[in-house]
Amino acid sequence: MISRRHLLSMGVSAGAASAFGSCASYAQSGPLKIGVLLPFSGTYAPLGEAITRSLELYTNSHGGKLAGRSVSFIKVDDESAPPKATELTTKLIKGEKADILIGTVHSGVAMAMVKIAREDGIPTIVPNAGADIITRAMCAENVFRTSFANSQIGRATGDSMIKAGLRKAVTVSWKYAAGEEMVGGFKKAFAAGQGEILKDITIPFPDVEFQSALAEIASLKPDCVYVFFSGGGALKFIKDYAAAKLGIPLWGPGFLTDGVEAEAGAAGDGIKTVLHYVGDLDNPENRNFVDAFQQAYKIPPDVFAVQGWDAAQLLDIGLKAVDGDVAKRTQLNAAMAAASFNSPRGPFKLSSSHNPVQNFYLRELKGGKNNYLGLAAAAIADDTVGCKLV
Amino acid sequence: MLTRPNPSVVIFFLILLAVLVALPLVAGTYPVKLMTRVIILATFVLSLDLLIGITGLVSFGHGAFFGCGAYAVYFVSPESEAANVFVALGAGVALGGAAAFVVGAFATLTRGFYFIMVTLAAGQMMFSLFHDTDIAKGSDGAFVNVKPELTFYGASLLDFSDWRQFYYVCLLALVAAYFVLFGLVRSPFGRVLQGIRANEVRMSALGYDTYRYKLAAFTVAGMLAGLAGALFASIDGFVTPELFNWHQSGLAIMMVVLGGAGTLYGPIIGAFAYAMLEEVLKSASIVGPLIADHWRLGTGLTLVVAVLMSPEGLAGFLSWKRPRVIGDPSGAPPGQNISSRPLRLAKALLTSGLSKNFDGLRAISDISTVFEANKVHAIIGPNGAGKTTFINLLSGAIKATAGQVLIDDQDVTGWPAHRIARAGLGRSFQLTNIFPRFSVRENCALAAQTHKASLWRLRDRPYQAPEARAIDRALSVAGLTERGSSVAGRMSNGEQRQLEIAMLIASGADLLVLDEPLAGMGPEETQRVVSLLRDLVRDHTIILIEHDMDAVFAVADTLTVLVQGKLLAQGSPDEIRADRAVLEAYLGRQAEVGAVA
Amino acid sequence: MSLIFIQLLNGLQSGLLIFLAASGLTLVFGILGVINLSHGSFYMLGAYLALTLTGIFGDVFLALAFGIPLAFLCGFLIEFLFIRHLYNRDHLQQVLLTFALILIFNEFQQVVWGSYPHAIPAPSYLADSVRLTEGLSYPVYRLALMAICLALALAMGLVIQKTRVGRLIRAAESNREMVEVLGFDSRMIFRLVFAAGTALAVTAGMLAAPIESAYPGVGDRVLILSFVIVVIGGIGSIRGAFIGSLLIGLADAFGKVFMPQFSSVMIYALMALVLVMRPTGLFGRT
Repeated sequence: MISRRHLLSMGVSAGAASAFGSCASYAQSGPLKIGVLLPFSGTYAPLGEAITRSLELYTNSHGGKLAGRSVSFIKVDDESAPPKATELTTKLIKGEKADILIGTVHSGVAMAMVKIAREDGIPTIVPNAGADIITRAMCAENVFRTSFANSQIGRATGDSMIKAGLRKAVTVSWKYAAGEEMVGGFKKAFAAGQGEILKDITIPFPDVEFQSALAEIASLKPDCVYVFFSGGGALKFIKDYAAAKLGIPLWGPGFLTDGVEAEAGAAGDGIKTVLHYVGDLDNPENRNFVDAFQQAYKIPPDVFAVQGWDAAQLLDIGLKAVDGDVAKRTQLNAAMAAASFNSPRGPFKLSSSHNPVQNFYLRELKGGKNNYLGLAAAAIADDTVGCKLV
Repeated sequence: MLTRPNPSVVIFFLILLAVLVALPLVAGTYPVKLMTRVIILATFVLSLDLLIGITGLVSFGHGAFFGCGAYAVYFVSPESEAANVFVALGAGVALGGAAAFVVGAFATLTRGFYFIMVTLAAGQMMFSLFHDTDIAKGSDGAFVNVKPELTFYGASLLDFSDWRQFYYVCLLALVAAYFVLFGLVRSPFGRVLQGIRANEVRMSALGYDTYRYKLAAFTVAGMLAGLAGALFASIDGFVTPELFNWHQSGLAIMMVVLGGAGTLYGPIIGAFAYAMLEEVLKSASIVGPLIADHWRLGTGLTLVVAVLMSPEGLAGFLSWKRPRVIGDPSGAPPGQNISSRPLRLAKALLTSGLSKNFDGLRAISDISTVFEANKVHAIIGPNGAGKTTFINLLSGAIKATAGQVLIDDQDVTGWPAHRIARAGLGRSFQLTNIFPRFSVRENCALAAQTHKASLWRLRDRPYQAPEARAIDRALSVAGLTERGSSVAGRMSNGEQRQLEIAMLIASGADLLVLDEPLAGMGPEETQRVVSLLRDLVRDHTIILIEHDMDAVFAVADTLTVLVQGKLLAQGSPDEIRADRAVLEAYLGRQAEVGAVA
Repeated sequence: MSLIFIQLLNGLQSGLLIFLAASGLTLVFGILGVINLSHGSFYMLGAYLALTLTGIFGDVFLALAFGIPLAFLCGFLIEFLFIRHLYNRDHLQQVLLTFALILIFNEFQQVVWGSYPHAIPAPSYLADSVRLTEGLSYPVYRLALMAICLALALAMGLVIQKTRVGRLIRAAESNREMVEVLGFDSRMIFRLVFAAGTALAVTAGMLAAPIESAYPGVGDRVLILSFVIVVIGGIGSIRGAFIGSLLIGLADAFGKVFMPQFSSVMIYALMALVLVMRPTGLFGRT
């Protein structure tokens, strides 16, 4: 891990070099500064950590270099707090003079970040935040996503649930953009399959007091419950849901379980989720990735780690195309837009609005592990409505 | 009272202003944007000083009005066009002010701890409103897609997206806000606010409706906070419910105190100092990673030290001299020859069946009595007889359970204290109740101002001469002419008592109710005050409570004896001295033997 | 119907829990006259203490057995080091200094425990849930929690009303100087009261930890609600704090179901309503 002191000395020498007006050569030599805006505190901290670990794993396995240039990560904790986002992003871009921007997890933070990134033109990769708008109305030449769009997953899950014969649902999620879009995508698909939504229960973000919601579900008696929570909130919900012994099947996008499978233990048995990744996917890229991650960090990787890994892969492709010269932004962006490679999740390519076009898999949680049940949907892309690149 | 800043302060700010004006010409986007934030913060903190430092209202929810201002811009900005600059800023001021008015209407009904809690809760309520509901975009915050601009027939005069232009607009706003507030605080309205901070009870007893003044101050502060918020929304075009968080309000209070509450310029320094401190502590490149990771600790410790060490904050360090209290700049000529004061009929006071219960305890039972005009009436009785309670009933400090109080023919039962004061009743308290930090003249000026006390009174000129005369007369009658510029809190107890009486005279009250005016005085001072009272009776009615029997018999025209909340006897001193029942209940047998000097 | 019953339970449970915290606050302010903004931090520290001690002892009740005396001691220490300097200062300075304490405590928490949220397990013998209505099982731990809080509330009431210590506390609350004049060392009384207030907040945090998890902001909500309850109930009144807590707990529980968006707003509206009717709270001194 690159320490801040190390960074400072490198930064000073790089700054001294560029002060003599050798802009072109600076852009090609010296360390590559990658600004990493992720949550390192709060309920989303585990996600931030997983992504960072993958980024570092990738660069370390390439000798600490990308496209021949040594890499330094400038990490900033966004605390999943949208109000600070603009300030922190500006700090990374203008203050720390980052060359590339990677971030973030929380959709609200991401939207603020992308707004500034678009104006600036800095190549930006979003390794998690699923806000639809980032690859719709806010799409841009320099903005890429290696995770998913909320509605995309919601739709895939809704389709699966219809296929499973469920017709009456209650939804529960936090009241924020990501929750609304996850539920929105699900509702569209569920309604299209003649399903009925009995009630949408929302909880202020990031409260984790679920007793009232559980009581309501019990009184509404649906045949299934569709739920979106992530991180610490997801774990709590799983446990509280199990304790309530409602006897109603629990479904959701994979985020409900990923990262908390082991801790959930028996409480999580039977939860069905849909996601663009499962740990035991049988392809060579995944097998290698899982081994390397397990060896380096002693725990298996999750979907967030995969998204981080793919962000590094995508960036590598782009950098190789311009030989490490980050000043050549147009070419860098074009190379990333056209990238197509093997991800642990399967084949990876980007839609015209720079969102992944990918497979979705059905899983069931049992004994602390997500078991692969089968392909839920193949090569799904998200809507590109409102994107000017299309 | 607020005075013009010392020369050293003025020089400091001129230099600061020069630096700030020059900044965009030499620095890049990041420093300028940072400074823009700090300037807006300073404007916000300035508005809070009007409440905390000037009026003495410790509001813990001030951030809510800042947030309202910010969201107002979001509300008036169309989806993909720019709002007009005046509309945007005006909306911010309006929404901030409106919210402050509503919250203030409730909050200023309370005092002290309750006030702090109510404002805290109000701030949190607004937070919940914007965070949990669909009023705006909820917890994610909302975008102002296009920042406000000002166009004139197609030509762009002002565009907030231009960070340089915007920076100067914010700087201008801060400077203008300071001067506006400075003028406001030095006006008669502002002087009342300062009086409320110094001693609200006294202000109320002088006849000011303090509720209205506090509400007005609260609203004005809310309007300015709304303006700051509206500017904030234009920095990044992003607003979030976190702006309403009470932590922001707490930090703002910190900056006010850090800079020096009540000086107006102090909090500006406080805001700059705090913002710079935070920026430095957060930069690992300057302080190292360990401190940068735990910058909050550094802030907390700095605050503790700052508060404990210098009560006057950074402003105190900045002024070379201790700010002297300068007297009223009226320069009026000395008063007329007082000894030829005409005799004038003062007011009489009548009570009928007056009673007061405290949760089952009958403190005052059915007292019916008359206090005739132009006489000194002494109320005496054993401890716990209810004397202070009785005069509290007369002055409106507490409400009667039953019965009536009349001043001349006016029924004033149930009137609040300030209204009864306006009706001509002035009272003093057991513990001297003046404005210790103000000068003698300033104390009297506040009292004299009640003649034309109006919320909207912002100009001094029309009333200066008559008020100066009233002040001079009051000082002369009370024997304090030489002490006009002395700081009230530094005078002797006796002189402070005289000042209290002077204030009552200056306020024009002619029915004086005095609670133990001679308490704690030596024989010489007692003599002086007794002479003063006998002199005042030419044009005043005086009701007093006293324990000093010698003085009572020397000064009083009538004695009213209260025992256990009931009226035992009333009459001339001789009658009372001879009354058996009184002797037994109170004076004891010795009084028969003791003669009055 | 069963929904109403369950919400009633939920409301009582959250009300009783927050009563513990609020009672500590009202005691401290009523007797010491100090506004202690760091009260919420004690709740948070309680949650994290539960995390650590349950990790050691395996059972949250055992953790309590150690945690409460520890909290008492800390309260003593904090009163001695900081709080006693506040007695003669005005509200503004009290607010500021205790706000600074919040910053310091928050940082302390970050250093020791970090920023990840942590779950604390309920004791295994209380980990199950009982079927209370046709479709829903209710966690036993929450029921046990209600019983414990109720017992503590009763104990507090008994101590204050029927014991000598309680009488002394009530006396100090209505007339501090008199108590001193009568020969009691008010300093020790204050230290005791502050330590008790701290211990109450910490206890509440520890008891709540299995149902709330420990995360950095967990004390904020408790602080605000405690203040609201003290305002509603009246400063210094334990009875007022009890009624206020139940009111708030029930309003919150029912608000979440019937007016989900406005449930928080309603709580503050409730406070405003009480203030308009009785400016010093339901049981406060006039």
